[in-house]
Amino acid sequence: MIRIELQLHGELKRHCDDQSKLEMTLEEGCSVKQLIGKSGVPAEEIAFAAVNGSRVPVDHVIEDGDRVKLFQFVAGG
Amino acid sequence: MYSTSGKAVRMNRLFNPDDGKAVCVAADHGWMSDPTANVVNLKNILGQVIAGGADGVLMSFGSAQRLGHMFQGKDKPAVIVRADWMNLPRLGGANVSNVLPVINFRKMATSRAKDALQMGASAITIYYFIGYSDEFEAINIEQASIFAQECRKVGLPLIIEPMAVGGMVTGVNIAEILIASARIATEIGADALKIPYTGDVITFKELVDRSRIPVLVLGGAKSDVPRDALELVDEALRAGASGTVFGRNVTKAKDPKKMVEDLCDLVHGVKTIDQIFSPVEKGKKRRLRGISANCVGCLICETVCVQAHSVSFGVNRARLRIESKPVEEKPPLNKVNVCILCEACIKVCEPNALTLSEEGYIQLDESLCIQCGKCGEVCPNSVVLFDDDGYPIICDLCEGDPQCVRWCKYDALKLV
Amino acid sequence: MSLRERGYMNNILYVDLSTGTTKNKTLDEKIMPLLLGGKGLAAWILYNALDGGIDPFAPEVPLIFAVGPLTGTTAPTAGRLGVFTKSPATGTILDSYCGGFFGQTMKWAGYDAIVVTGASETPCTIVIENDAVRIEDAGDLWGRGTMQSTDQLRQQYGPEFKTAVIGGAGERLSPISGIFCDLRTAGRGGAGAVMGSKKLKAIAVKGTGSVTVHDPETFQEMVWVSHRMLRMSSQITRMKDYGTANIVELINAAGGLPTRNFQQGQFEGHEELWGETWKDEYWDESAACYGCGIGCTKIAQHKRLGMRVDGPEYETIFALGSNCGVTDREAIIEVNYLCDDYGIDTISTGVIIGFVMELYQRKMMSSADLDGIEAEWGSGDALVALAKKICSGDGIGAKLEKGVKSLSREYPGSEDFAMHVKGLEMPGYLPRGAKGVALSYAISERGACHLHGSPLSELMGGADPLTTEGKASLFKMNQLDIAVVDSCILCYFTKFGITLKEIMQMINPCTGFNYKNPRELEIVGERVTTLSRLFNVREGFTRKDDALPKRCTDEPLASGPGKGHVVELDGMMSEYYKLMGWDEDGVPTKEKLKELKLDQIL
Repeated sequence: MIRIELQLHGELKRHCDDQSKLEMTLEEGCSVKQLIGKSGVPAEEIAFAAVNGSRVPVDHVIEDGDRVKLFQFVAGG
Repeated sequence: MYSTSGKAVRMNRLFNPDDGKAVCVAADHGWMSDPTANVVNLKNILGQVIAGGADGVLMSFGSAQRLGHMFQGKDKPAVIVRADWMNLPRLGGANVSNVLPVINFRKMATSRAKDALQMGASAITIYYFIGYSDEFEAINIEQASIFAQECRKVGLPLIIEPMAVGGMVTGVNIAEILIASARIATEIGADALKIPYTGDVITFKELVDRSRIPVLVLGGAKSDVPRDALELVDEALRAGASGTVFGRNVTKAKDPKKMVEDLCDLVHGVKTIDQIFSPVEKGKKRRLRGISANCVGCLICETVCVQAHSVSFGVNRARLRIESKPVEEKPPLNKVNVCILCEACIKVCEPNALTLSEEGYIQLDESLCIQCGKCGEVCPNSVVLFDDDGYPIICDLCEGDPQCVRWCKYDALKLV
Repeated sequence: MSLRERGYMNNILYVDLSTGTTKNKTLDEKIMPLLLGGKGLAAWILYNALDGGIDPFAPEVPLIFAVGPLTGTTAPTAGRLGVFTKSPATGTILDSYCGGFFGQTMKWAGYDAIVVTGASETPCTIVIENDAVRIEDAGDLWGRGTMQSTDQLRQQYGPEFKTAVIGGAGERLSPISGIFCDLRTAGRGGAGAVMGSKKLKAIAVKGTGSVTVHDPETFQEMVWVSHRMLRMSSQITRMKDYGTANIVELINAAGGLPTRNFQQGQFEGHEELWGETWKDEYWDESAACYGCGIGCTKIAQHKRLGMRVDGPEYETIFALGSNCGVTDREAIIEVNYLCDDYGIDTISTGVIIGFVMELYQRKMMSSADLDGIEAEWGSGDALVALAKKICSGDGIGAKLEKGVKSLSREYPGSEDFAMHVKGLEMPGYLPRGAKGVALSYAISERGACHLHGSPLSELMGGADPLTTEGKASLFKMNQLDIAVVDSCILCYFTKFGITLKEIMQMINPCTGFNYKNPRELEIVGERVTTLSRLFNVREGFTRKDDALPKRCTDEPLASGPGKGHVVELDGMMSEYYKLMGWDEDGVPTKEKLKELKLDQIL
C-alpha cells in the first residue's frame, strides 16, 4: 500500500466534502485514472492531473508520497 | 407477441396521463465511473427523490433489482432501467470531442428488454452515439435497432439518449447534430428521448418538432445560481419538452427532495419559476435596494432600464444611476443610486400628478403634471430625471418586475 | 430598413488632424453582412486606404477606433473597443482591443468607427459630444501620465466623457506603447505610438444616444441565454473569483509558464504568483467592463507605495514574474503601475527585461551597458529599475523601448533567443509546451499573439499540447471564431461560455442579417482573417516571416512535461495554409478570394 496526498483544484473539491486536500491509501501500481475513479470527481470535469506539480497522462502510475492534483477546466488568456 | 397496448400502459405509468409530462431522476452513474459517495448512498437519496414525487427513476439493472422494493405502490415512481454501459466518463475530458480516439471507446448492452420487463421496469434507456464516424454510428444504430425490436415485442417503451461527441462535433454544430440525432432516434423506434438542452428555445423547439415523440431534457452544468437550472427546464418546456431527466443536479443537490419538488411544480405546471423563487406576499409593498459593495460598475442595469422604457439601448435617462470613481481612489468604486420609494416626490407634487399605484409603484398622470420640477429637487438619490418636455422620468419598478434586478449578476440590486 | 435601426449607427467619423476638418460617411449596406463591423470593417478601411510599404508614422496612416453591431447593447461584454492601424512594432496590420467604457460611449455618441488621419502640429485632443466634434489644444496634457491625463480630462469636460489617452511612451513613438481607456488598455503592437505620431494625446467622447436593434424582443431573449451560459460556466466562475491570474498554477503544471526568457515552462516560484495568492494578499476589489457578467478585473494596492492598479493580469504576472524569474509581488505591482501610467504594454516590457536578463547572464551585456543596473534573474529591484528606464526612455531605456527585435540586432547571436515574432514580443504560453499555440504565434497577423485564435485550450486540458496532430485545424477553428468575436465586438473571454451559435442568435435579431447557421458566421470570420492576411501580404510578409525564434524550433526543452520537445513548425504550417486555401507561400489564392467574395469588395 502507498500513501499519497490528493489535491483538488478550485470547484472540484465540492465532490469531496469541500476538502481541497485528502490523504489517501492506495494499492501499489495504482494509476491516475484509477485514483480519479476512487476520488468521486467526475472525469468529465477534470482538465488534467498533475503529479508533484507536473501534468501527467492518466495512465501514469502513482508512487508512495506523491502529491496528485486534479485540475478543473479554466478560462484565461 | 406484438404489443402496443403494453407500451401505452407503461408510458402512462411514466408520464402523468393528465398532462403527458414526467420528472425523472437519473441515478445510473454508479458503474460508469467508479462508485462515488452519492452512489453508495443511493438508497438514502432515492428515498428523498421518491418523497419529492418524481415520476420515474433511471437505474442500473443491479440497483433496480436491489432497491426495487422502494418502488412498490401506486404513487411510487416508475422504474427505468439503463440497459447499456459505456466507458466515456472514465476516458476523461469535457471536450473529449477533440482528443478521444474511438479505439478506446467501449459500449455494450448489459440487459435485454425482457429482463427489464420481468423486473417491473416501465421503460429502458440506451445511448446512441453520433459524431465520431459513420462506422461507429452504424454499430450504434444496429445495437439500438435490436433494442427497438425487443421492446416492440414485449411492449416496453424505449428511451434513446443521443450523445453528440466525437471529432465531427463542435460548438458551432452541436445543436444541428442534436436535432438530427433526435429524429434519427425516432426513426430507430424510440418512444421517448432523453437529450441535452440545445441552449435556447428556438433550436430546442426545432428538435422537439422534428422528433415527434416525448422529449425529456437532461440537466446541464451545475450553476451557482439555482434559478438557472430550472430556467433551462422552463425554456425546454416552452419549446415543447415533456419533462426532465436530472441526474447530479438532483442527486448532488443540498436538498434532493426540494429540488425534485421544484421540478415537479414547474414541469406539471403547478408553479411558475417566479412563484418558486420569489413568492409574492399579498399586499406587501416592495422597493429596490442598491448594494453598492457588490456593484462592479458594469452598467447593465442602466441599459436594461432604458431598453425597458423605450426600445433602444443606452444609459441616458436611466431611472437608476451608478456612480463610479477612478481606480486610484479608495474603494468602494461604485455607488448604486435607486428609487427607494420614499415618496418624497409624491408628497411634493401639488397637482397630484404622481401617485402610488395599488401594486406599489409610482405612476405619472401627464395630464395633471405642470412640469414644475419639484419632484426632481426633492429626490434624495437624484434619480428623478426629466424628458425634453419637462415631464419627470421616475422608476416604476417596471410595473412590478424590475429588469435591473433581473439582469444584475452581482447581487447589487434587490427587490425587498 | 436602414442600418441605423439594425444595431449600427450608420456613421463613420473621419477626422483629419492635418487640416483640422471632419466629415461623416454612412456604412455600405452591401459590405456590413460580409464583415459585421469592428475588425472586419476596420481591416477593410485600412486595406483600401493604404498602399504597401508605408511608414506607420506617416500622417496618411489611419488610426481607427471601431465598435461593432452588438456594442452598446445588453449583449455580454458589449463595451469592447477595437483600435486598428498599421503596427510600428511589426509593420503588419494591427488590431488591439480593450474593455472599459469608451466603446459603448462612442457608439451612443453616434459612431461605428472613428478614423483619424493626418497629424497635428501641436498636441491635441479630439472632443466628441454626440455629433459635435472639436479639436482642442492638449499642450498642458502632453508629457503627463495616462492616469493624470484621464483625471484632468474628466475634470475639464465632465465625468460623462470617456477617454482614450496615451502616455509618455506613445508620445515618444515607442513601438510598445498602447492606448489607455480608464481601467483597460489596448496594449499590444504600438497603437499608442501611431496616436503619438499624430500628436493626438486623447480622445474624449460623450454619447447620450442609443442603439436600436432589428427585433428587440428576440434579441433580449437571446442575450439572456448568452448571459446565462456564461454564468453557468464553471470556468467563468473561477475567472470571476481570481481574474485572469486564476490560471497561473494550472499553466505551470501543464509546463506552459514561460520562465527566464522562455528557457523553461515551469517556474519554481510559481506559488508566489497564483491567483489565490494575489487574492489573499493584494486584491481588495473587483470591477467589470461595460455589460460584463464576468468581472475579471481585480484591483491591487501596493503596500509600501500605496499606488492602486487594476491587475496584475495573467500576462503581466508571467511577463514581469516568471519570465524574469521574479517572485517579488510588490515589484510586479509597481512595474504594472508604471507601465500603465507611461502607457506601455506589460507583456512587451517583461519580455524585453527577460531578454536583457539573459543577455546579462550570458555576459553579452554588463551593468555598465545598463546604466549600472545589475540585471540578475529574479531581482525585483532590477525589474523596477529596468522598467523605469523603458518607461522614461532615458539612457539605455531609449534602446530597450524599441523592443526585443531591434535590441537583438545589436547583439549578434542573440536573435536565437529574442522571443518575438515579426517584432511583437511573445505572450505567456511556452511554444515548446503547446504546439498549437506555437503555430498561432508564428501565423497571427499582428505578430506573436495569444488572442487571435491561439488554441490555449491545449494547455488547459482540451487536447494533448505536445502533438502537432490536428493543431492546424484547431487553430483555424479558433481563429475564425475570434475574428467574428472581434468584429461584433465581444470580449475574448466570452468563448469560455458561448459559441458562434449564441453569437449568431444575438447578431440575427440585432442586424436582421439572418445568417442561417453558425457556419455562415464562421465564413465571415474566415473573410476577415483572410483580409488581414492580404494586408500583410501586400506589405511583403510571406511564409518566411511566419517563423519562430530558434529557441522554439531548435532547442529541446530541458525539463517539465514537454521535456525534449521542440516546435515542429513546418508541417503544421503547410497543413494550416492548405486548410485556409492559401498557397505554400502563405498567400491566399484567387479561388479563395472569390469564394469569400473578397474579390467583390476590394
